[in-house]
Amino acid sequence: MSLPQSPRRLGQRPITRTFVTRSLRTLRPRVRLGSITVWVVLLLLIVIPVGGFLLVAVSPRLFNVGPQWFTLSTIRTTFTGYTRKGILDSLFVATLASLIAVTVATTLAWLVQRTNIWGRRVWSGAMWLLLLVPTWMTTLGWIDVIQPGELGTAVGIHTLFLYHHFFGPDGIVFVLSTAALPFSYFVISVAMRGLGSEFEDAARVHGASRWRTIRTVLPIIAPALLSAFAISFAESMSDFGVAFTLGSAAHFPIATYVLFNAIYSFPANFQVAAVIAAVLILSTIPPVYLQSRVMRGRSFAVLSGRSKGVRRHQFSTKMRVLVTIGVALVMFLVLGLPLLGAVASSFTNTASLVTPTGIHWTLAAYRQVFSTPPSFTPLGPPLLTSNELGLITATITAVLALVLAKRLASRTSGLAQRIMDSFLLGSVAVPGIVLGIGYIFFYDQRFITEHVIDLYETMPLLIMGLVASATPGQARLLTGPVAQLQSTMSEAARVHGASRFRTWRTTTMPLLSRAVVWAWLLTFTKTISELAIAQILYQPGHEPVSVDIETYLGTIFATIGSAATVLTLVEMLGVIVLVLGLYRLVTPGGWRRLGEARNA
Amino acid sequence: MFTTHHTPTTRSRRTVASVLAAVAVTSLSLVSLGAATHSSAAEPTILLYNAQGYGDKVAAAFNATNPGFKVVVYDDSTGPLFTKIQAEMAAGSPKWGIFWADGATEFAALDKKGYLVKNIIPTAAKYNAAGKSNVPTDGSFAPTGLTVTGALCYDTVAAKNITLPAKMSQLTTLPSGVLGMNDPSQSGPTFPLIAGVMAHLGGITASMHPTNAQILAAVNDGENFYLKLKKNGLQVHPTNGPTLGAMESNPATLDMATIQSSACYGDINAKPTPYWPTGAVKYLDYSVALPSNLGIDAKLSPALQKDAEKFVAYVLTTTGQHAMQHGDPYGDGLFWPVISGVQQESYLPSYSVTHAYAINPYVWGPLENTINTWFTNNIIN
Repeated sequence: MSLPQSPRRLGQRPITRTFVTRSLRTLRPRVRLGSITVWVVLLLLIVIPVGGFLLVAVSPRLFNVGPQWFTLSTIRTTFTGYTRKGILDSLFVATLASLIAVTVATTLAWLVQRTNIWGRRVWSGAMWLLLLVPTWMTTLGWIDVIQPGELGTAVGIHTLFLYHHFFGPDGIVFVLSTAALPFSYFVISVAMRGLGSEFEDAARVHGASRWRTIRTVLPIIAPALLSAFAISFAESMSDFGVAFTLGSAAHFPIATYVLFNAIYSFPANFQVAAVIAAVLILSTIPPVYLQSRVMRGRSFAVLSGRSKGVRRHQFSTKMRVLVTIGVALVMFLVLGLPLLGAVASSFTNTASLVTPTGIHWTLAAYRQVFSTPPSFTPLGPPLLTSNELGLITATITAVLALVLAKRLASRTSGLAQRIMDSFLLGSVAVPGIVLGIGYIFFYDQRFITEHVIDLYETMPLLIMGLVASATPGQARLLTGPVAQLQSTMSEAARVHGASRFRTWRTTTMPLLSRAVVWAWLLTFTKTISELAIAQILYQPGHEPVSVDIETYLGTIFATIGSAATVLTLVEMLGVIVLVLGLYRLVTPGGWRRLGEARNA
Repeated sequence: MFTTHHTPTTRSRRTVASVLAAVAVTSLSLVSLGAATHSSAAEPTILLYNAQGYGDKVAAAFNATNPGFKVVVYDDSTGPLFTKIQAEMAAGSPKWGIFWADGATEFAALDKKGYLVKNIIPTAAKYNAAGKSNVPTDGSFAPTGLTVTGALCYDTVAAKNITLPAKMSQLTTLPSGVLGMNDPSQSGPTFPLIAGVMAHLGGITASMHPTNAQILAAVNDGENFYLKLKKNGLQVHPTNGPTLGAMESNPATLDMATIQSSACYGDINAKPTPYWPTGAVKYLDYSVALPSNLGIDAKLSPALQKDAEKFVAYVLTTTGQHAMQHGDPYGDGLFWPVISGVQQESYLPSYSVTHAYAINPYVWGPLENTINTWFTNNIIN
């Protein structure tokens, strides 16, 4: 199919100055309507529920959780003693974890995308797997490795020293770094795939050394690097899993643990929780500011239909072996070991892996996943519920995130874009538990339930909460690829008479399809493992799988929980394989080859 | 980009795949929507916020024999459920109908705010002596079973060279680092233990109306006790699970802990194979009574309140108590019944052995936040 040679052949009017002016006039209201729609959606999903909850910090009377209409006393008390320490600890830990994650991710992304190391698909797949595993699962997996009597003991390693270190700042930084690693890796990988070899070639042709070439090329993916840092920071600040599992035992308070304690204390201290949540959100402003400072006035658009495939750096055989082993060790440490710990635990039915009479392997836990003890729910229905939630949430999120990413990547808008940028990153830092309580405060208001709509404890409200939780992060992840799109392509298509939809379908979609599919899969898998929002908003009688698994943990049936976790992970992997298979089947080859590396 | 050509085979493959994907999305969405509207059936429902392992089974048994309305269960831990109740009450449109959890302090707090229906205990309920001692005077919540917290659970192998204490006060003289307990901010039964220790040290009984000075003195004594334990290497784990896990690991990283009795018995007596064969329970000079309770939302319609009271009445019958025991035989089902004529599980000792000390939830409930914050600041960190 080829495009018509001139707009006239489509029966359109010739492009004249008057035509353009009129068109712009007619477009203006549509643009405004689009902006309004986007903001209304964001208001209902995030701004009003979260904003309402934050207002409790200064106006507890607003939601009947205190007598004062206005007070600053909660803010003053929050910034003292234990709570202040928690906030400072979190800032330190999140900064450190983000730096580690971005550094390791950049190295790994370069090795996988731009060199000839062995097992490149395996390492990318391993990153996916790491992304699937929530931090609470990672922590429990590590405990299954280093607690005396577990996997470490089984292979003859004395792990008590590591065990004590794990329950402290070291453990928290390590787990948060591993959790942030895949976020950074995928953001940077997409950027590296989109970055053709011509930039390296140009630098080398002009006599740049290897180091100078790196220094020249790296800034081109600055949006991705900064985006990776910002999102890693926000994710680390708001992580609930570490607070849930390592929080108290670490004797190192972090903000989310303090917030968790405030909300689940007796009576619940919503005011202090609101102040901490506000701090978490505000803490994301510096990374956004840094990003906007660096990017201001510059273009990073390098992705076009003409982007050349990248050329891989060729290691010598000896170096190739060493680097591959190095990558394998890193991946084994961050992913293999905790997973191995959890899997080993799921094949036993004893208090610890190693008992005085040896290790007793059994499939009992896998049998009991579907034929549970009296007080538990079999895995099947919760898993189905979670898949439905994942499917709907991921689809809505992908569309919404793409719309938002386009706005974020726009270089023409100023203040509005920065507000949106700060708002979305701030939203990433909103812990799920705050979103959940904010939803109760707003959507369970008597006026709304009686006169507008009664959504609380229904599936639609849970989906809204999950979309609200996933969209900011996904929008940020998609901003990198969207920012790299060269606008000349769509302009060319429009000039040649293509409609807006056709322009999008034939220029934007092919270039972004892979990123959107990744975003969809990421949201799908994260939705399945999401615990904080699900625990607060799930519909009675329809527990998601994360809530179901959580009921096993900390009981004598923990091994059934491990087995259920393993099966859930396998199912998620199955969905990923299916979706990627469908993508391969449905899309033209050119879409998939875009940005692929070739050997020199 | 605009001149992509497809062969008929490729196109049909893609069409089939697209249709398959669309069908999958549509069917799963429809199933989901069906689930979402499931609760809007014509039959009246009462939402049971349930923190008990046996809640689902008891509700199912009740629903099977009581047509006309349905008890729908919402399972979670005590903390999240209590938070949800407070948030719903603050928003003004509560969804919960019945609350079932361990401990009386949170029920006393709800009662003080006027959130609970009073006099929900049926006259036909045949409470035994232990049950009666935990019934509130205004009948705003109904004790349904008893466990104790502060029992000394220990691993017989790990603690074989240690002389076990006979009194709670002797815990401070144990070898350093061998004793553990739970974090009261995360473990529901732990604040009642701390409050019970304080009340016992201050000589405040459940029936007393102590002065502020008496309470302050008791709290002071209790804080000193826990500071001594900390100095002696007290290990604090989040909840029963991790605390038991530390004692059950091989080798144990914790020798003994003062936690909830039912959690220890569950691991020791699990069937078909004991999960913790080297575990044991010892009762000191006192433990702290921990009743499980049912409360009803005062904002329910009068008709639904009556229905909810039927559920309470059912739980307080022999049949209801048996449903509780069989509903979670290795966990929460290991309680001492509060209804006359119902036998406890065979491997539980007599309730009198526990020397259970009852606390007044209306005295200690309001102090929970303050004491837990002190514990977090001074013992955990």
